[in-house]
Amino acid sequence: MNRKINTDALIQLIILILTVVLLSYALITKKINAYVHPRYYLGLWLSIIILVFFALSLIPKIKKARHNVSISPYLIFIIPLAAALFFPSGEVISKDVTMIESSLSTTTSEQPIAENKPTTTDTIEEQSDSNEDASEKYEHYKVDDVVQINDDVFSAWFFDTYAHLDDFTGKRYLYLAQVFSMDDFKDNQFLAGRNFMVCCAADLAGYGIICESNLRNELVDQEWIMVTGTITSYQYNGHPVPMLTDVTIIKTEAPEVGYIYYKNY
Amino acid sequence: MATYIDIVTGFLESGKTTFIQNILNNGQVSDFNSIVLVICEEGFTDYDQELFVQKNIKSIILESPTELNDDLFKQIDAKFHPDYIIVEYNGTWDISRLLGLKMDPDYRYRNVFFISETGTFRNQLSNMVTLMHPHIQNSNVTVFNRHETVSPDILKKIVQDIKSINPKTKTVFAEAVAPTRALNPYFGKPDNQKNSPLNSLIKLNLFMLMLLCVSVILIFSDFNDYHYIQSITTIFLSILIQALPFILFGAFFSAIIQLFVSSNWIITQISKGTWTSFLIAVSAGFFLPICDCGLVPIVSGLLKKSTPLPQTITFWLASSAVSPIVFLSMLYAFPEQPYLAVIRVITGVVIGIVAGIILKLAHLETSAVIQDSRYFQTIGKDILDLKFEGTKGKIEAVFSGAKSEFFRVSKYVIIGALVSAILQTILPQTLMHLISSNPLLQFMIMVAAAIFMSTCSTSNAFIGKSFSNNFSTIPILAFVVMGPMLDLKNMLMLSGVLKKRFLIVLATLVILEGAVVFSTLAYFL
Repeated sequence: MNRKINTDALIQLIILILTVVLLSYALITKKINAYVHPRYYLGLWLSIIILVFFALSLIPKIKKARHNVSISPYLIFIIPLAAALFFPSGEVISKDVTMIESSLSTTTSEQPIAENKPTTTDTIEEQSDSNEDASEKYEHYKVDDVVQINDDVFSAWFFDTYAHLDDFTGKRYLYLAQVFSMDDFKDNQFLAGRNFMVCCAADLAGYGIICESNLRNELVDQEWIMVTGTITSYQYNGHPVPMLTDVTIIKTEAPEVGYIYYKNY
Repeated sequence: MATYIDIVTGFLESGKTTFIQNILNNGQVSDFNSIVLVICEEGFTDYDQELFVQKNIKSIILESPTELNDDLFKQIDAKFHPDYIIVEYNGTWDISRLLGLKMDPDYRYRNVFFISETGTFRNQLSNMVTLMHPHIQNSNVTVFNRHETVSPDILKKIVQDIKSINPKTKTVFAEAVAPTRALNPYFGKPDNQKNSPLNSLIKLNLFMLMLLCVSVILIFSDFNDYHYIQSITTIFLSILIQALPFILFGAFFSAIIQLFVSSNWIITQISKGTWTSFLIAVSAGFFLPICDCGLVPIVSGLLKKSTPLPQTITFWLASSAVSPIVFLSMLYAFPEQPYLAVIRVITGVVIGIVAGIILKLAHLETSAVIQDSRYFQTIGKDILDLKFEGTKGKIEAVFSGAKSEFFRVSKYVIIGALVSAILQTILPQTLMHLISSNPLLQFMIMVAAAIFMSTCSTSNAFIGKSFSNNFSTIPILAFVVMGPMLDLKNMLMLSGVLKKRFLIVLATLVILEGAVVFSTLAYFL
């Protein structure tokens, strides 16, 4: 004996359950970091709770039999679910490679920073007190005369080096970086930088500091390195920008998710 | 052999009996040897008894919904061994009760005909939508009798009403005499029915065609395909994931507006006098500091409540300009030019207000630009099929309404996100080739970027910044300001409520205003 059910509600239920399962999995395993900024954690957990409520409210409705249900409006939901299932976020590294083109265009945006930073330094909030040494707050990461910049402080430190170049000049820093190349660089130059995420993977943008090293030829684009160097001032397109000299490079494994999450607001 | 069941439903006096007699008389069921007619009507019936004898038709009368139980079809089968059952259903009974009955696997529901009298239909629908909605929703054909005296305009509106409740059903205006030939396809085997499977096949083909196009583009681009797809899916999913909390928030907010806020209250709030009302509309966005993808459901909810068009559009266009989060993101994206954040607010507000005023001067009313079907898209308590009463019922209504808004809006977000993910991966190179020192061309490119590459009002500032090596400040500002206004996925979401023609007019208006505003800016800066 058969009984008709509400296919409409059933399809909605399946979509909701799959979404909840995939999202929770991504959040628990932190794979979500490849897609969105960690500040979305709370919002996404709340969304999951709401979706679960939606799903629960559908269960009694499945029994309400329906005739002539239109399935086609739900076909579109196959795309994101399939994309999430078949292209796991584990492949972030290769995604980075594909981002070369766009990150290249964005790494070059380092130029306008260079153009404007020096002249308008004092308009930048909290750093407007020009007497304070901006490099001071990174001093407690110092190990054997080298300040180790970890991912958490990287974005703040990076922007500070451009804004207060004088304070950083002559100091030695160590950080995890990726190799970016730029068209107008000399043969021994490259950009040691990272991809920054503001909201989600759609707005990834690469930023970095110029490095000069004889090992340049041994480095491949997007390769992960631990770079140590001393900051000096360098004239790039007529503007002073930070540059790492006396560079030591250690090739290293790619981290699981290699983005810097922009935290300033 | 399979036994087919056709259901004929509708109110008393709608012409069900005549319709069924016509079917039985006209040979559309001549293939069947043993026909059972189930009549669900408390009152009398006036079937032609002679016909029953002549065609060997057995009839059963059910006088109350309680007689619809799992034994019904078992008993019918045992008694008559029918190969065709036609049910005259009572339009005031719950139709899912009949559809959900247990039956032999050989028994199959074939058609649900909803019968109505043309002249009284619209009146009945607005008074008894709760009763009628499920019957229309489950039907695959709606038949209207006695349409000869009704004006073609009304007939058109009836078709739209039906489509808005059930886009899959076919509307037929029948002659009084016989079920028209238009109905013939419905009396074949259900598997051969041309209507629905063909439609979904066409849709599936379009879908495949789209995929093919995408793959062709990918193959002809010189880059590693897999990396490309990887990049596209990652960007695509990331846009969806970051939009999800905002869309849910917007869906709830929209459900609450539609269910509990009286339209009069909103309308008096934003139509108190021309100038103040526009200012209120502009500042409202400040108190809803959410992403633009969450604002679209709210704007749709307002429009469904028939709020005045100019002020609602001003609210929508200016909302991302006055959002505190967007202001902060501008400050952080352009720390060396904080004045850009201020200019972004001013230009956004100006474009929003001017667009509103132009719409007001053009005397465009909400009713003229909204999709005609909006009435039944509105989530009303009467359509939501609720279980609880009182406070519990209210909470249930909000959840249920938010759920349908969520599913409605998600479709557009998915399409929009897919298009912009593909373009964001492919466009940067193309854009590089197009770069020109011509400011007008730069502006045009940025308008295209606003439509296709805008992700979220918050991250637009940073995406805009990434153009800064190749574009000058003013076109970038144009991208940031106009991004949320022209964003393809927002437009798609709005097209669920607003007419496409109007959206094109609105987009053109925004682009023209943008051209004026930003060229003025370029003159002064």
